[in-house]
Amino acid sequence: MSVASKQMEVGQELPPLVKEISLDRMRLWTNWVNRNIHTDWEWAKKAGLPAPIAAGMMSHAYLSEMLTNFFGENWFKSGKLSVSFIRYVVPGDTITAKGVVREKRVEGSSVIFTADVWCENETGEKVTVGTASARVP
Amino acid sequence: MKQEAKELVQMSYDQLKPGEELPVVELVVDDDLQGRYVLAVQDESPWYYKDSPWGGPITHPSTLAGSTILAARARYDYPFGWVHARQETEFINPLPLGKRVKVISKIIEKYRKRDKGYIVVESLLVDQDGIEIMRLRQHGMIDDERIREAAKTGLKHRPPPASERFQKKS
Repeated sequence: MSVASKQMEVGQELPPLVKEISLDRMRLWTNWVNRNIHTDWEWAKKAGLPAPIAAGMMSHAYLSEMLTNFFGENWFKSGKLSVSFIRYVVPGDTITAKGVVREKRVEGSSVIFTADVWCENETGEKVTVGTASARVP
Repeated sequence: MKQEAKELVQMSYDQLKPGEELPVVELVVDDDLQGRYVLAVQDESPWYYKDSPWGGPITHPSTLAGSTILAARARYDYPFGWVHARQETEFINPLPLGKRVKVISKIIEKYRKRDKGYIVVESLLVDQDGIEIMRLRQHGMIDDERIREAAKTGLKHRPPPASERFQKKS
């Protein structure tokens, strides 16, 4: 499952991941029992939002999945992910999780890779931005 | 976790104090709960329902990474329309599916940025054998002009009641 190896170089792109956002999936994520800004148009509008907005943690989940695919089990033992949610994600958006390695640091017999990671919508606007790192033994 | 609405205090930026410890919450993620999350994010990895490098299936991190909200929700009602602004997650060990985990949380900071009020909640997840699973830090924007206007509607952002799988311990 893992793609990462110690021989990777700065600039290597992580295989991207594409996800479709729907209100049904947003409601599944939020365990839709109550109406709230993630599940209901009327409530979202009353909260001053353009539409029900996907929970930021859904983008976090997409990035984590991309990083799990890339680093394999090393992600679960050493992964760090820091992101800011900078733009609303709404039903109908198509979100692509992307990343690129920007630092490689040797520590003993392991290598720690740091990547710039982000999610962007179908128009190329970034919705989530941050960094991720993991150790490859 | 069973929580009566009348026990909850309305979260207010001005009244929150860094250093406040939040209630400890325990949770167990079972097949049903996990299935909902993996369907929501369309993650088909067999690690979460069949086999993983550690033996049987493991808990999907998405079911755990939002745990700071559970802790805050054990004491506070959120402002209507608050927004999750930033998340920092450290993955320490995988959690076998069905294993109990404790969420230990604290409000560590509050700050204003561009006339918006943020709080920072930090959580450590530890399983029933004392193994650290995850460390989380969540920044929530709980006060700005939009939220103050939304509060006038009288509506409350009421996340769904945590299910009985989530047990408040303190």
